[in-house]
Amino acid sequence: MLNANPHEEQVKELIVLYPRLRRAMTIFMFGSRIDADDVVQDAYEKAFERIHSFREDSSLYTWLYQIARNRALDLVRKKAPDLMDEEGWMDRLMDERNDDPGESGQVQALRQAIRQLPSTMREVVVLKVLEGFSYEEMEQITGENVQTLKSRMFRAKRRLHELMKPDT
Amino acid sequence: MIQSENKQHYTQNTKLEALIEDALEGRLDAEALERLHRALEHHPDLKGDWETLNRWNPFQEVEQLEPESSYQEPAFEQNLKRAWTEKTAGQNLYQITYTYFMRYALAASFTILAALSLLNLQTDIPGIPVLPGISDNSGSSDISVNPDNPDNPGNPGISWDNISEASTSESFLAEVQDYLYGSDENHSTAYYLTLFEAEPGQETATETDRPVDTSPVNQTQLQ
Repeated sequence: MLNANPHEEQVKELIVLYPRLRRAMTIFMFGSRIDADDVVQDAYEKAFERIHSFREDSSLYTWLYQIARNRALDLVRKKAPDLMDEEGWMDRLMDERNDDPGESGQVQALRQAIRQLPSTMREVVVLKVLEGFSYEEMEQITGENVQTLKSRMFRAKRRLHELMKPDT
Repeated sequence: MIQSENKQHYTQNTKLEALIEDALEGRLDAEALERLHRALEHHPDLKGDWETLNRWNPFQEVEQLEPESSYQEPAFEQNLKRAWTEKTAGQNLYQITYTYFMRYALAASFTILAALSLLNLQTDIPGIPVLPGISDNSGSSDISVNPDNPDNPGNPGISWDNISEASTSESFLAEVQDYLYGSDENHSTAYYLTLFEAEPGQETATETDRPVDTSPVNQTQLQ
């Protein structure tokens, strides 16, 4: 007699997480929801294939995020290799303002400032502030040690402060 | 030297920045905070940044920044569920194939083949070739086409019947010798039996004919 798939519950949990991953990947992919959706779809397909290899030493979302992040990095390298360096990010991001007119001035300024951060700092802000990962989880995702990640966070805040000063 | 100093400076700065971040997030106790204050006396730029960021929190309105709910979309969720269903359907097909074909059908095939091989040794099944040198029970075809003994086509070869009739090991040995060497007297059954069955007290020709070395032992060789 065939058994039901033993990973059914984990997959249900994964599917519940999709809005969170879409949000993270939209920021990762320069605000493009189309690119983000491609990344998320691919990430889920890969996750379904590899669900048997999921070890419970991390949360399901951390594991899923890692898969999506690798896919997003591949896509960025393929589509816009110039964006892998900081100057490329800046040029592109300056053209990509797509703000919601209903947002407060402060939120708009923050959104724009985050987009102007170099990729390494921006990722730390997204992972820590938006995603709510702990530094230990971020270490697992990015492969960078906790001290480096904390230092990047401090520098990101300092840069955001500079970018959001009224005279900037 | 300069490179090494720069690296050391960078590492020290990274450590201090990490500690300041811990302090900003309220993860340092009073003693650690005091140590950090003392360490930052030599880094006025970092101390200034710490004081500024202590009064400024850019992430207060983070929930407004990117509300998760705005990324919810039933059609997208349906796509994911469909992808999983298709995936599991594929897995089930594989599982069925594996379970019922690989495990049972293949095992059955092996059993049938094994049974046929056994039958082939004992019965004459038309169309299944007979192993060379072993005759079937009819004693017909193998006599004329004995590939192992082309010089003696009249030799019927070893048959299972003959082997089963052999009552002693001597007679079986005789069968084998006759099959291999025919009636050649130098290789006859009787000749080989003499090698193995010399009478007690009587030496075989081989033993008596062996020359005995009676020369004195060379002492240097022994040493």
